[in-house]
Amino acid sequence: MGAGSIRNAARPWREGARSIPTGRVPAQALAVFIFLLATAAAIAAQRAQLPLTAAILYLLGVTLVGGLAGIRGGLAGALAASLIYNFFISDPVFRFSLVSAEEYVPLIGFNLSAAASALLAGRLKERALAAETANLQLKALLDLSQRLQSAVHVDQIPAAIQAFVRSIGRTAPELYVVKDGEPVPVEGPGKGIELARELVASGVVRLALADSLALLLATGAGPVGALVLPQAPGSRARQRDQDLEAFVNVLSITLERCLLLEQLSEAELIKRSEEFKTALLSSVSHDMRTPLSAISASASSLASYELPAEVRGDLLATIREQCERLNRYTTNLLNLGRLQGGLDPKHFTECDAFEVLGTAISRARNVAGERGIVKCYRVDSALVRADPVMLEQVFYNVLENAVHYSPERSSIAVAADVEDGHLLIDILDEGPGIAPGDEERVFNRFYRAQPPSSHEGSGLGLSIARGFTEAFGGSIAARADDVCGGTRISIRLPLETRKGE
Amino acid sequence: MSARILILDDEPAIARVLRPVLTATGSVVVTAATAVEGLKAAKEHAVDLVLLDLGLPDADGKDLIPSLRNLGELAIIVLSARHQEAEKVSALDAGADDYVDKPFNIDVLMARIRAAERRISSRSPKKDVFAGGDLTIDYRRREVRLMGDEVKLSPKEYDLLCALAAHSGQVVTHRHLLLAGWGDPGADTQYLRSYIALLRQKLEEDPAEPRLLLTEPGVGYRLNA
Repeated sequence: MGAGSIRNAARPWREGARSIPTGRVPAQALAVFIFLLATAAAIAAQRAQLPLTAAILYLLGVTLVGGLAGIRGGLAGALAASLIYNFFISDPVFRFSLVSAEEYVPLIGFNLSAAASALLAGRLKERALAAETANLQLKALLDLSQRLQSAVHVDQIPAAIQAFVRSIGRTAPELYVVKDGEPVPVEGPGKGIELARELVASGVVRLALADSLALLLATGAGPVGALVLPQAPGSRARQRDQDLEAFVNVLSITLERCLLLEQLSEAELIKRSEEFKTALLSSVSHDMRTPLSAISASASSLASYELPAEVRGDLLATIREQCERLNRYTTNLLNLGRLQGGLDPKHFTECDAFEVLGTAISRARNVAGERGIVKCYRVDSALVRADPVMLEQVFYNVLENAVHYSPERSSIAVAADVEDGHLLIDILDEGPGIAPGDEERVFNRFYRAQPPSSHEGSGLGLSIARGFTEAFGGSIAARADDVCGGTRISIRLPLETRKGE
Repeated sequence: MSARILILDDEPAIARVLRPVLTATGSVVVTAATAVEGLKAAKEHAVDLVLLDLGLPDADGKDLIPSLRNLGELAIIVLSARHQEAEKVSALDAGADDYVDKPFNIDVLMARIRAAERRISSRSPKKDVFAGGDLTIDYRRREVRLMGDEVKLSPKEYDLLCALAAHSGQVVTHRHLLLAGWGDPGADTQYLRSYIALLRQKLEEDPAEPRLLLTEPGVGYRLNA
């Protein structure tokens, strides 16, 4: 079946050439005009007693007509010319006669020269058309390979080959990727899946049916995919074997490349997620166990020993502090989970960032000890689109970070301003600042500044602050402050623009 | 405080911790771990207040609120987790009085319980005066005083403050406040934010960090008087 189909597929090529516009109608009109002109000239020459000139003029006319009108028109012209010549021009006038050489040589001569010129002209025309078509096909192929080269994902391939597929009279290419020996459609329902399956199973390179063409995409490693090309309604399929072959080769290579890239990124993703889990587990076990042992030790001491009131108070305070720490930590883990799961901007609402900031500052004062939190706002109201609870977490986490990394009795400044459609909030502490080169790393999960300060953070706070801020379309950056040397964390959030305002 | 309190939570540790404290303040404590048991206990013991966990094994605690409300005059305080703002709002809209985030500080919980009890006991006889902390409201004269000094409020500001004062110490949802101030629970919360900001300008020492009119992000406001 395969070989016959190929021939079948290749045959329409000549018909394809015909569909390219040639400007035949003006050529025919011109041929008729030349025919009439030659006839008139021949008659005039004959009247002037120049029979040789008449014959030559007529021969010239017929040759031109043949060249212009193609073989059929040329022959018809030649026949008409010989009849007219015989009837009107050559002796005896007004009578048909094919007796003497004078009478039949023009008939044969006219027809032969018309046929010869028509054939030559036709060949020439066809060559030109073929060259033009080949040029177009080449351009389509070049364009195709350029488009395919930039594809990095299998999903991008159908769009990239669309133009080429249309140029060969096909439509709606269905791409299949071979997974475990079975073709799987890249998009859509895969109407031609049966055809693709047959192709992959049989290993046939090309299958042409009445209404569609199926191509096997294979590389050195074996079949990687299949392409089913239904015929475009109202147009006839046309392609040259060599174009199709080039197309299949380029496509196979692209598909293989995309699939390899996919595998690579999947492997990378798995590796990173494994690394993350490992880091998370080690962090969880450490960060949970420390407060738990403090609580357990305090509670058992209280239960087992008669202790002075002062010591008991201390132990109870420890239990409370460590509980708060555990709570903070679980909240952060929960937030991390939300970030990993992806945030849905549909749930964001319009909220006043300063209202939320005020709540966060009040909360932060509870853990700030003797540190002062100073506000220097240049604006006191700014609408942003966010989840208010998550936004509060952003502010709180940054404030808490400032508290943990700054000495007692220092101050933490919160500055606010508005600048080209953004709210800027800077939180500045008087701690040791950030080592050069660490400005980005502080936002990494589980990053903790070295040497570890007295504080027991999870290393998640700033990472969550960044995740949330970015989800709100904002950004957050850290740097050592030029003046006081402490850390300055800048939060930038796009202002909400209300319609009609 | 001699209220009958139902602790409806499937986590026994919560009841174990709360029972001694609540009993010490003179309350009678009943516990239940499922929705079915809880409804039965609330009916049998004619409780005044329910501490309701939203995640019960046999039902969504939220769906229990209307049935509890039907039992008569009782307060419902929802025990919820942070980040469940939508849950909290729907529980409050369903008729809960307030919520407390788990894990809670016992002082905060006791304050919320006191606020709920205060509201229940003050419900029947309509009071003429509200007094909480530095704030007093004379309802008959529509007069608001802060540390004895009169504060001039616009009618809308006054309505909002009264709606908050009627639930002093308890959260009041955006919806509820929009209804109180504009008669339309679906009105733009932007209006509400603006008026709360105005009230804070007049009543707060530092409006950027309020102590009286607290924001409950994503839920509503709370008058902390």
